[in-house]
Amino acid sequence: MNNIKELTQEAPSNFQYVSSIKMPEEKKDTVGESAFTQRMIRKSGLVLAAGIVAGVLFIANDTGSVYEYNEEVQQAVDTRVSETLSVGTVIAEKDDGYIGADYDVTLSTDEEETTIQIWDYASEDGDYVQILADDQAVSEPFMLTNKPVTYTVPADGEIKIVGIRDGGDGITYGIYYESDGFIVYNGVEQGGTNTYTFTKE
Amino acid sequence: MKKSISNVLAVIWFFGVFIWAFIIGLIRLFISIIPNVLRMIGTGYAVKSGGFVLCFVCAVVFFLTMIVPVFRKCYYKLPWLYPASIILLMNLFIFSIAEFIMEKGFSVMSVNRHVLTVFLVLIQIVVCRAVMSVYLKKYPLVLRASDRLE
Repeated sequence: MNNIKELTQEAPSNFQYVSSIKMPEEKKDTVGESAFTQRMIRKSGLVLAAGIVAGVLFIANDTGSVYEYNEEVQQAVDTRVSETLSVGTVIAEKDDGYIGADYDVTLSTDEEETTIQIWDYASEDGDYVQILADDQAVSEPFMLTNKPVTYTVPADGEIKIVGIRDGGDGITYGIYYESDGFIVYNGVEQGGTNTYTFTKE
Repeated sequence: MKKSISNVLAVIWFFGVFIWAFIIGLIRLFISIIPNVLRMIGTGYAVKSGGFVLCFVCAVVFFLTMIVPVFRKCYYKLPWLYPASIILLMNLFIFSIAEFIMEKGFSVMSVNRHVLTVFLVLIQIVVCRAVMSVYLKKYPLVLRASDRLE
């Protein structure tokens, strides 16, 4: 405090403050690419990286299933069964409101259990189903996509596909029994059930 | 002559490609991606996500605009567009990830899974936005007074 007082007292009457002090100025760039451009080019790598990551995530998440019309597909649409089409084949562009039937299936296996694969055979529109085996839940209700999901179920018993939520124009799905090498293209309404009675040969 | 051709190319790129990617990205962010996340929380059902495609397209368009001198002219004429496009891309990316996590989490109807998914998404958005803020504070996208616009 004393020092400040002394300084104040000692300061000359014509003392000049800030106006005499020059702040350092940023150097104006005049040659080559401007600093703005250089910063932009440096950041472009980050933008490209974000694009690549987004593209990779999209590809990883995409089922790659697209509807392609051919005679086999038309036959599957007409008969609702197929032994030749591969699992996960999309046979319709959008849900056709098909309400299917129950099936009795004779499986050629000695095993106690078999696997089934189930997928949405039309557009992925948010249909939800639940799988029951002898009235016991095999799965939580799940959304059908074009990518088949596999479940293990008893090879001798009643498998029910319960329609939980209709994303629009019916709940449509393909189901493949591994022991039989057979695909059924079926449909169920919201709250409805398709029953598959499995018996061993 | 050469300058005229480059100007024409710059105008074609800006009005034919850049502005569409920018506007569609902005509109989709607010009327599709963010509402999808909220709709999934509201209904409990998954919605097919599509944010990553848009993110990829916007990133490619913005990258080309930044790297190709002729296309870059729009950033010299409208310098605010540069930070706007980068921040748009960052937000698109953050909310596309959130939409993706929500879609995966809500594809199975289970209360525990839904709660965990919402919790994860909240953390993801907060962390990503915090990282974005720190990055932009450290490397601001502002046009400085000393900058020369080519």
